[in-house]
Amino acid sequence: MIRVALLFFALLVGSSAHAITTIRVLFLFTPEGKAYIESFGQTMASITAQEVAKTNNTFFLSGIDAQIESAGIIPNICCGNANFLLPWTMTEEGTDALDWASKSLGVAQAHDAANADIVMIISNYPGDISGRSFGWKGPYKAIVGVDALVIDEYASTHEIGHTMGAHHQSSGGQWFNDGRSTPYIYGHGFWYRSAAHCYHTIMSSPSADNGVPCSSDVEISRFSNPAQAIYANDGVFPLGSSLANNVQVLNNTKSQVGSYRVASWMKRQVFITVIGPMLTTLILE
Amino acid sequence: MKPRYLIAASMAVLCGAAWSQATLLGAPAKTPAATESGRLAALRKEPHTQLAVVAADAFALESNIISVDLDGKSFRFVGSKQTLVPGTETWIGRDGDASAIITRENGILSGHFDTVGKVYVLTHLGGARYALRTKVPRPVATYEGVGK
Repeated sequence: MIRVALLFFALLVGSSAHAITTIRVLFLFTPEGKAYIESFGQTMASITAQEVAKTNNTFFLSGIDAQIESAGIIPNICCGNANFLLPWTMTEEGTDALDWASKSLGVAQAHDAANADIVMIISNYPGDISGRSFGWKGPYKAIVGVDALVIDEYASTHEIGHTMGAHHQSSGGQWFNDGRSTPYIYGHGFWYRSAAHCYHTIMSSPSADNGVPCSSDVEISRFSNPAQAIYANDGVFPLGSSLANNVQVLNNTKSQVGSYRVASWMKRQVFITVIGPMLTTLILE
Repeated sequence: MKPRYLIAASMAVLCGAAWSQATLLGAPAKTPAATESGRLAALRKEPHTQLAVVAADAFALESNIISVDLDGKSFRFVGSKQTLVPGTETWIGRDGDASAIITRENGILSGHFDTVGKVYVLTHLGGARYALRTKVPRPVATYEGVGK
């Protein structure tokens, strides 16, 4: 009986190693974000579908065994952009996401009600053209704010990367160099600059001018990955390094992020407290 | 009949025929089928709406291939439809490392085309008009692809 149980356990672990993890994302729109999106002929539903598809496509092409799905769409949350200024003045991981969520007008309740893993807030704060993430901190919540001005690129995918433990480039970028080594020392974005080529991956920013002229920096819609490369006319160029392997980070953390939802947490607790002991008893007998 | 009258009569006949032909050329525009055909033909001539028309055709025909030319380079995206959000349909296709993501909701299309080095965004302008814009100018010819 014990051998059968061990075999079953081994099969379970083996099969889950490359399993596709589904991460549920709840999309919340501020009135300003919704209005901006509608001003150029899009709707919350079409934007959400596009963001889900873009992120999943990037995951697939980068080699990340995860996908996201919409946990729902809620319009007109909060009461204006001003309310998002306060939480956004926090350092990225300086304040617990759960704490921020508890102060944020029902965001935490919406997260729980939708059985979501990540909450994405689509806003349109004037002058702010970037997203914010409070990810990789909360015990079961992660919050992403993405400015609607950049929603048509890869901002939401970038912020989801943060919630899964990925960081910006470690040095040399135009903004927000990030030397952190947690949760993984290799969890940084990648950038490259030479006379012929200037490019950066999704978690990185355009490379700074280090004396090499660069007329136009290109964002490659991939997470950094030393196992992938760019095949150009004049050679093969890297998409990662020993310090830039976002793909490994996201594959490491996908299961944890995919269980931020309340239902998963409850199931886990039920398993640990009820089913686990029952199985143990059965096997030992 | 004097020659000059003959010439005048001939001219009248020719002018009448030309007027009639012109009317006939214009007339089909009033029929629904010709209007649709003419509209699509006109749209296809506009680079920024080419993708919208091709995408609409792909949805209508349940096609799994969308062929478009972007910046002088031909792409042949192969993909399929999914329902990612209720009330919408999203077509996701790839051509090597390039990708096309087109969403349709209530007949309105929106799209995102990434040629690895350049991103095009298709947005609805009202009616049958669409805009194809690229947010960040990026050299597209430099990169041949990203591979594992």
